[in-house]
Amino acid sequence: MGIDPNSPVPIYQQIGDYIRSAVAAGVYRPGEMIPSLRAMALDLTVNPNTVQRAYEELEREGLIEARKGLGMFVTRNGTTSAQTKSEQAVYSAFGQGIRAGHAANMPAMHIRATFGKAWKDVNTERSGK
Amino acid sequence: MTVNTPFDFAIETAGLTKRFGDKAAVDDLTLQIPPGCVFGFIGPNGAGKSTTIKMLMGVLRRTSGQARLLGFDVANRAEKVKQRIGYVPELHFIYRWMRVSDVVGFCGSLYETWNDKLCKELLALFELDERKKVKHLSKGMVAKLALLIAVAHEPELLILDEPTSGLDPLIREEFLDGVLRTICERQKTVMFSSHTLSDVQRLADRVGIIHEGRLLVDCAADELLTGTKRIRIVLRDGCSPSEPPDGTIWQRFQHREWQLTVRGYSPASVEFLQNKYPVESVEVTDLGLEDVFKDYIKGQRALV
Amino acid sequence: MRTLIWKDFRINVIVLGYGFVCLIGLTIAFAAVKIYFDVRFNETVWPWPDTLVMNGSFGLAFQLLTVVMLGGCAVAAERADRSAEFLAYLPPSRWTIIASKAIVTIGAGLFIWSVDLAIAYGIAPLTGTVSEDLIIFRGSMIPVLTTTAILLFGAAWCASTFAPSHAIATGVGIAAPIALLCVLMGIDYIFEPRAFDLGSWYRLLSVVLGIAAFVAGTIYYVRRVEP
Repeated sequence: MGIDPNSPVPIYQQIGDYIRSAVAAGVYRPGEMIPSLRAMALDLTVNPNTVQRAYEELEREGLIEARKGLGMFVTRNGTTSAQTKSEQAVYSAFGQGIRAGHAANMPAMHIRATFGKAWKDVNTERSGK
Repeated sequence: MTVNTPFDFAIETAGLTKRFGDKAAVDDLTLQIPPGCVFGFIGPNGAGKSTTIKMLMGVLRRTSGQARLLGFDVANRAEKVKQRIGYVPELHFIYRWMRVSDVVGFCGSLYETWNDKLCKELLALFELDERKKVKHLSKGMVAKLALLIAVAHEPELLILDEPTSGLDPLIREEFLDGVLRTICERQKTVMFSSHTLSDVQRLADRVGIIHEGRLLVDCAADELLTGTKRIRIVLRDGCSPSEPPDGTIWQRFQHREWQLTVRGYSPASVEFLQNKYPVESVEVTDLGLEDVFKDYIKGQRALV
Repeated sequence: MRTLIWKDFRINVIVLGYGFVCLIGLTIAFAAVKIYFDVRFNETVWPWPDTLVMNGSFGLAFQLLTVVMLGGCAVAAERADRSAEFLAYLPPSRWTIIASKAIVTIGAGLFIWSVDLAIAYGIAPLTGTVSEDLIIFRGSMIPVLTTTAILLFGAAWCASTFAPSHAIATGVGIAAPIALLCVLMGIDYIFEPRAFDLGSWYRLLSVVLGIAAFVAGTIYYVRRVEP
């Protein structure tokens, strides 16, 4: 896993997104410890303050909790919380697509049709694999 | 034994200026970097980054202004302060006839706080062959050796001048790793100048942008990136923009499309534009550090 | 300080090598020539005392080059390969850096000089009586060589503190006694002062100017900002 420093998405957000998707996918289960601040910072080659900011936000969301002296652990309802967030991210992505369509002066019916086509193609591709 | 007098800022300059003849390489530079901060100093070639750092290190005489490191005036070149500072220059001139073991022994004897254990760890981490002479080391190896010398005595302040220029991506990663280990220690201040903006975006808490000797920006990295946005406006026919909103650092108008980069962006900036001009559509995008940097410089050049 | 001295010793190792090779080489050469003549002509052409005096005196002449190179390389050698810039941001102060250089160059210079002096003044009489001519020869050559060495070293050292390379600094060092000689000869020729003993003036001024140049160069170096 690597973060993209050139992306306009702030690095702390990228870290947060990664942890959320990892928890949603079951890479880290409730009760398990996520990498320490220092380990994460060294692994991703980013300032530990940035990792701290990401962790603080995840803690605020209720995805992870601090256990004194040990580190950060996924909360009991962490997985559901992460999945909700993932849904929100997907919602945003769809929203962006729709906005792009409007910005390109596509009529509403076209935008909907394009969505339908993408839906069909992606699902075919996935079942083919 | 070092006497630690309290200081507010790890690095402090006031009106620092360096003139070469008529030209000001560094013009009235004022910086205040608090302890524990990682400061990324960026600017185009010849902007004055190296000149500033050389003045801070006391190897270039300043024309006017003040500069202090850890509270001490740099002109005094006090040995006490140098013990607490690590420096990695852009070009390395380590004694070429020395072996790596000689270099490490030489520098180790000069620093009171030299940590032998850390030194051995870094030698292993950087895969430096102790028996090799410096003249037989590759560019990347020399850079890593220079970093080792700078951090093995556990300095309070680490200054790096374009440390990764000319290094391949793998070595650059190793190098940044070495720097990060220092950052992970509490209260270590780091100042580094770099062209590799991705490095700055990864490591810096604060960013300073310098152009033709003048400091354009000096603020928290997060604030710079979240507060600067690109606005793309499509204007109706027959209209041309005259007055951009406050905080515009760069703009370009081409064929009904007006692009501007605004610092200190807020929705009010868009409202201002919608009220003033006949706007077809508006799009606001976030920017990475490279874009912000380029827009600042392009904007400055357009002013000339 | 010890590591600085080691470093300065290593930087000057070639010059010191030249000095020692001359020292030993000339001794061997003079002894070999003496023995050859003895064997060839089947009589003592050069007695040992005289050979040793010549050895010591000519040895010093060769060591003039060692001395001027020691002075010229002192600071400027590190400036030529820019290792001075590396040293500049390490902790040692300017005083410490220059003190180490002074210890190594002056120390080595004095050592080599004393060996040749010992040969000419100390060991020679132990092997027998030195002949009259050689005593006069020794008395006129050695003081001139010694004072010239002081001027050579001082001038080269001073130049070394600001010259961009050791070659230039050494060149300035070599030029100094020549310039002094020309000036004194010029004064003698143009003004024709009474009782003007060129030799004495030369010896006095070489020492004074040599030491003054050394001190001036040292102070300049300590105050200078650029490495």
